[in-house]
Amino acid sequence: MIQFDKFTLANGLRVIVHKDETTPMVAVNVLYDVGARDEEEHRTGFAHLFEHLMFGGSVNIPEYDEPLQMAGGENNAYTTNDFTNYYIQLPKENIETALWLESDRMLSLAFSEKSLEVQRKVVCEEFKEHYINKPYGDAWKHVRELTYTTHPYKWMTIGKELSHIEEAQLEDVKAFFKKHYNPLNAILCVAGDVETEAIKVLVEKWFGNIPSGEKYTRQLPAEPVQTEDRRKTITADVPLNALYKTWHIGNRLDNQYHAADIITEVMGSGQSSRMYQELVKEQRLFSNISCYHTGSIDPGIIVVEGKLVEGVAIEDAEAAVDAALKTLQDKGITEEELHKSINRLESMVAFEDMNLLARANNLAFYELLGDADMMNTEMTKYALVTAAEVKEVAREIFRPGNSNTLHYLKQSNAPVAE
Amino acid sequence: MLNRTIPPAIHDAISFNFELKPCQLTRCLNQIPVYWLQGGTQEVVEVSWVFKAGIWQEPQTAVAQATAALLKNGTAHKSAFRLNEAIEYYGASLKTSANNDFASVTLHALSKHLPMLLPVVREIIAEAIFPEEEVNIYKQNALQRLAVNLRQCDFVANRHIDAFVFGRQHPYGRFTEQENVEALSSAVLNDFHKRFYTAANCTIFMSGNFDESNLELLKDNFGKDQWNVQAGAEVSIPLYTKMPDPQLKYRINNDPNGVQGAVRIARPFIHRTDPKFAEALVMNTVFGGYFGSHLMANIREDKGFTYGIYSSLISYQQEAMMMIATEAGKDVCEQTVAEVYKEMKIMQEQPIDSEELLLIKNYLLGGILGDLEGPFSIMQRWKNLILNDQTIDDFHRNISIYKGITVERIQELATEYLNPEQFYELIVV
Repeated sequence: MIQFDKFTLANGLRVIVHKDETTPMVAVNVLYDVGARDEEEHRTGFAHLFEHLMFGGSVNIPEYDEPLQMAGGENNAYTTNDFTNYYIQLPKENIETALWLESDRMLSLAFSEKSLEVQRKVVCEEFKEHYINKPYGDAWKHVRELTYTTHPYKWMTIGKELSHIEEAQLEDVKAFFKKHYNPLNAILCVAGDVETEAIKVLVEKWFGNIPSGEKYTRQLPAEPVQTEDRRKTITADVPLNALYKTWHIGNRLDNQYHAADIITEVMGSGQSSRMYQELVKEQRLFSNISCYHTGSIDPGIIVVEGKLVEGVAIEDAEAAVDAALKTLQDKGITEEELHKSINRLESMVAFEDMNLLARANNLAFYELLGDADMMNTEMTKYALVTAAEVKEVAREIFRPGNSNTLHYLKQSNAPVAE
Repeated sequence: MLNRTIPPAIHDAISFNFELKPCQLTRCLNQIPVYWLQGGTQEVVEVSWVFKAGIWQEPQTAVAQATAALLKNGTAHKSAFRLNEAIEYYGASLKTSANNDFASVTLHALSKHLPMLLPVVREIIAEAIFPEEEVNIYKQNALQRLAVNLRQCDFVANRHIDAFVFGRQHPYGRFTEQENVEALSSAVLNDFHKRFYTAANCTIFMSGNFDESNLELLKDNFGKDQWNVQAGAEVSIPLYTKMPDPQLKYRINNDPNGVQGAVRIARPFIHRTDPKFAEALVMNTVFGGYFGSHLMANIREDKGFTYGIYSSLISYQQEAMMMIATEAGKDVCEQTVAEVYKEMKIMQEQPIDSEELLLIKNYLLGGILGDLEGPFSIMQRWKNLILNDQTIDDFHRNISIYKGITVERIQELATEYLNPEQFYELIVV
């Protein structure tokens, strides 16, 4: 049970305080309700580029990192398709340094031309390192474009193409800040050996006079229900054929979420999972395979991806995946598999909760979903899932017409490495 | 009116006290040392079995890692599936791996499940049989993984730079080729397992929220008999000497369509047991060891050549090296190398600012304070000390070095260790 207090400042900033007396550190987590899904299609990758610019100095503080390091702190940030999260860990004596830094960049950035110019290049190198200069690096670009026709999940967080990042202008940066970075769109979580009353005073001091800004109301185009299976084949200079399949599932708060999560546990989690045992070990069709879901806030997807054993026809490999899913739909899962999944999830939660930063991050995330206390009720929801429900949800998800298949094939004349 | 330009007062981390929570040692009847440490609020536990069964000990390339990878793929009584099922049913994970010096088997579980799990782990560690069929699947998949990795410039660069510094014949410089994987067999793995995964070669570390009965259970399962120990069998390990490559600069063209290059600049370095190592670690932090380092400030934050560039000190059991590593745009790789050397020269020619040194100290010590939280990370500190034959005194000595080192000393160390002509230099596109 994770205990916490919650209050809201007059300007709309939501604040969560979690007490843990056992640690000499505090975690300060600021989550902004903006992700790649809030970008315009002709200007993607912006939420993430913007995250880099948040470290380029704010209106009253020229350098973000230096004062924090001086205070013995470490920090980082990440952007997803749903939100952007900034976090700091530092000795509890120096907590005010963290609040000073975070409040100033919520107030306003320095908007330096030099910082934009450098970070454009840095992000382009990040793009190349992870998505271009790597075999199968662009697979997710194709998977997303095939799976989502309408919803902004059709592009990756890093962006659709390099040129979108290269063309970003300072005016765009300013407009983005004004639209998304204000107390109404943020959640602050402080965790550590702290007293809520003392934190209230400090947060009021540093964040209290930041103007509320305007509440951003998200109006994203919904992904239409898919009724026809879609397929795509691409070839590239890779050593092995690979298969990617996706199916649409509900959103994060959908009633079927927990059952869908259990489906991926049974099918793809660990070396005793069904797909690993049947497709990698027994039939030797894949050299590796995974089955997982994206866990996104808006309707997400279940993904099966794997690399094929040399010489196996991709049609045969795909048929075996389909057969495994057919068995799931026809026979469901056993009580033992259900139990095992619950055990795994219980253990995962316990290990995650050991980490102070993870707790601070999760509290902010569940508050974004609607209520930080969901962090404490999640396991109960898993415990209520029945095998019958899993079967029903599986039939719904893996129904004809709901799938997308990408064959990622090697060029037949690909050169032999080394 | 709040003046935001004035930073809040801070407490310097150098003024803090650093206590490493003690870890207990119990010896089993069969003499296996068990280091244990209780703590944490969640009912979770981590148990590691560490064997001197790394690449250093292997009789032929790729054996140590294959043995670790296949350890839980079958015993005389249970198939790979049944073993994995027995662990995963309880939401536990059992990771097996081998690095240059050690093989480790690590169990993460809820403490309440230990009675069901420990007998299975015992069976896996002591009675693995490496079935031929499992070895064949492993070989096929390892070859496929290798083929994918060889397309990546960072993977190729890492193989070569190790070979330059230590020599291709040395365990730390050796790398796996297709024929090494093909040469693996059930017999070779069984032999390696029988020689090195033994009670006489094992150290156990247990941390987390567990009670005395759990500890007794661990000793019951692992500490009573001399499992796998063969009377009179002395394990002899060849001595290796490093043979650095005589040529210092290399360029490798691995991918004609590559848009980035992997840059590696490395040299042999003093070992972590050397009295100067802790000081050198501070010098390395200034140079390239954290986000605000000279290398990052210049090559990422000023020039935008890369997503990240780091310099690290890598200390194995027998030898150590210093390595600067980055992936940079293909057309700016050469410039990146030149800038790295320029930064070395700057560190040698002028002392760093005393404010900067204070920042580094606070940053380093703040990080250590964060590490002293939670039973697993405290045990990780202890493991590093114990496996390197160091003690709590070394921990305290290092802390006092981090607190007391001067800008002059940093410059002296830069002069001694940051000479461009002593570094290997490699770009793989």
